[in-house]
Amino acid sequence: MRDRALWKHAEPGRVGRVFILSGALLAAILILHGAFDAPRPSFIEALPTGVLRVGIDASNPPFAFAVSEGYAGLEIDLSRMLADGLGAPLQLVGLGYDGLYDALSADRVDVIIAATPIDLKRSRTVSASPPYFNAGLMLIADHPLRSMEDLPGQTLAFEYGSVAHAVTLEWLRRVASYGLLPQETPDAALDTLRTGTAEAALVDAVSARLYLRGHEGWHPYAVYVTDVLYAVISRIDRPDLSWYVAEGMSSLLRDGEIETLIAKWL
Amino acid sequence: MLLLLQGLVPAPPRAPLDVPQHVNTTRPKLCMHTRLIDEVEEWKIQRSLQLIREMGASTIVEFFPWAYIETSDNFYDWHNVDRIVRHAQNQGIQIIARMGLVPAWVRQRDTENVGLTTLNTLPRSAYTEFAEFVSAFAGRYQGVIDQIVIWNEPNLAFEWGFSEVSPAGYGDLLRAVYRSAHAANPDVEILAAGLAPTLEPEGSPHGLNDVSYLEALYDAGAGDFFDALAVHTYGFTIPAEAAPSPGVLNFRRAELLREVMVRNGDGDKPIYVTETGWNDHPRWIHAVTPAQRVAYTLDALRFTEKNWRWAERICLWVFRYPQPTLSYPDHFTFADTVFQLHPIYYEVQAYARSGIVEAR
Repeated sequence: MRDRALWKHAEPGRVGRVFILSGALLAAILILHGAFDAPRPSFIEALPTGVLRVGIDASNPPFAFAVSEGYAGLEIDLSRMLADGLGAPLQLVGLGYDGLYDALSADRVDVIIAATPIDLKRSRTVSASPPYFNAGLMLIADHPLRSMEDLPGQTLAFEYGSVAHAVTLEWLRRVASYGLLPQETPDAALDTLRTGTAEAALVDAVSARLYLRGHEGWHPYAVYVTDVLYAVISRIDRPDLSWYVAEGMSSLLRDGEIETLIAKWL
Repeated sequence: MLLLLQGLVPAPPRAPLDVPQHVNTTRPKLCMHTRLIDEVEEWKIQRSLQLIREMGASTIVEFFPWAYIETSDNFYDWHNVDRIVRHAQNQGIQIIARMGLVPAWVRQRDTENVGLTTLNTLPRSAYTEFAEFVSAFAGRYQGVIDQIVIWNEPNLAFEWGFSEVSPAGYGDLLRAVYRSAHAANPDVEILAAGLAPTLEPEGSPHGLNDVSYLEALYDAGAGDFFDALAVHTYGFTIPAEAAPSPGVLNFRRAELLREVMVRNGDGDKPIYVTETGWNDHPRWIHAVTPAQRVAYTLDALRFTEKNWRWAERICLWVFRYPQPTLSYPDHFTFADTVFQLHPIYYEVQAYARSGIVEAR
């Protein structure tokens, strides 16, 4: 129930829409290309080891973290769903953040599922699936706000020194003045909004969703201000594997399974 | 017409050199790790170094990738290094250089492993070429950059090109570099790489415990091929003054590395802590709160000043990234990509400049 107001308004931002449309277009091109080309190998055949090796970073809850039986988290569940959907055995490979792309490059893993944003700078070497989560910044308020342009005259809370702080200052140069209420953490910023000290808060989507889990009775409005799109990353020189991963993710998105997964963990 | 149109294009932002500056600090060991080499716009290099000087750090550690400089065999493009050096000198800041990343022309020779290597894959057959690069660097920047760190965290598999980590192999790399670098610059100090703080046991595919690795490096006879040791020591979630222990990753783990040096007769060799710090991401499991980050960092600086006379520099990771990672590493920074300074910057600045009487 808490999601009703917040997520009804949480549409992707402009960049997010472009990525989603681009993903659909890419999938269509890949399908058409496949129709006129040599038969595509099966997914198992497209995997160098016959197993889907997923690189994860188990230091980043609730996406992935270590438990006594191994790993848990949103991305662990997602890895299982993707492997099951594509009919491949799954192997989770624990990595540190710094080693994710190197592991892909050295063929230690087939894909990365590790809160990895789509990064255009890497587009010459890697492919990204349709995104499964937007971790961008959200403008949150107790009244409907369409964008940062609606802020003048109000007070905005945010985490001091964070990306939200930088975006706040950027917008101050574009629109009429609004009040600033820097706080030590995203939760503290949301506290000021909930208790009426601020009229709006700018925090990342993960912090916002986790905060709302702890405040079930509170139903603010939210809109994305920036997009940070987490996707499954694969090597660009493995087009068949990338195609299957994109298909698998599209299927999970279409069937609402990703949405259910996000609601479970966030 | 083309010339006319060219005339209409705005000039790129310029970064003219300032009046030569010096660092006003009461903490001469304070140092900052930077990531300047990937900056496109020169003014951002200048701005970063100005802010570091104003914070009171007199030294930076900067990465100078082999792959960026020797772009083809024996062709060196020093442009990016020169502009960092120019601005650092202008701000009165010293540089410790870290070397690494293998150029494409070396990697492409390994035709058997196409698609399986990384920028950290350095074949043994290329040690001599890497040594030649280090010598060229050492000679060119003699008197300007006299501390050179060879490689990064070779006790981690991914930093060793996903080969099995090898203290003996890394020792051979130091051996290949050492004499030629000294021949090119007699004043150079060759620093053995900072090792990643890790408890990985022998045989792990991910890496090897840093203390064990250093011990093995000495066992391999590499002690004669470095003049100083670079150390990476992070606090993770533990306060700065917590005592070290072999099974714990904390700030004072550096003391365990120092004990290995002493045991091997290297007690007189200096240590440069080239990476340290705490992270204040809201959810990363190795992070603390922003207030704890400030407190632990200042405690660490005070502690080292009092107790670590063997430490030449304490370099905090990291001043700023050219672009955000959009993940928890951003919470190690002192400034964001648009130069918004984080609270820890001001706190360290107050510490570094305490006791200074400002000129009016």
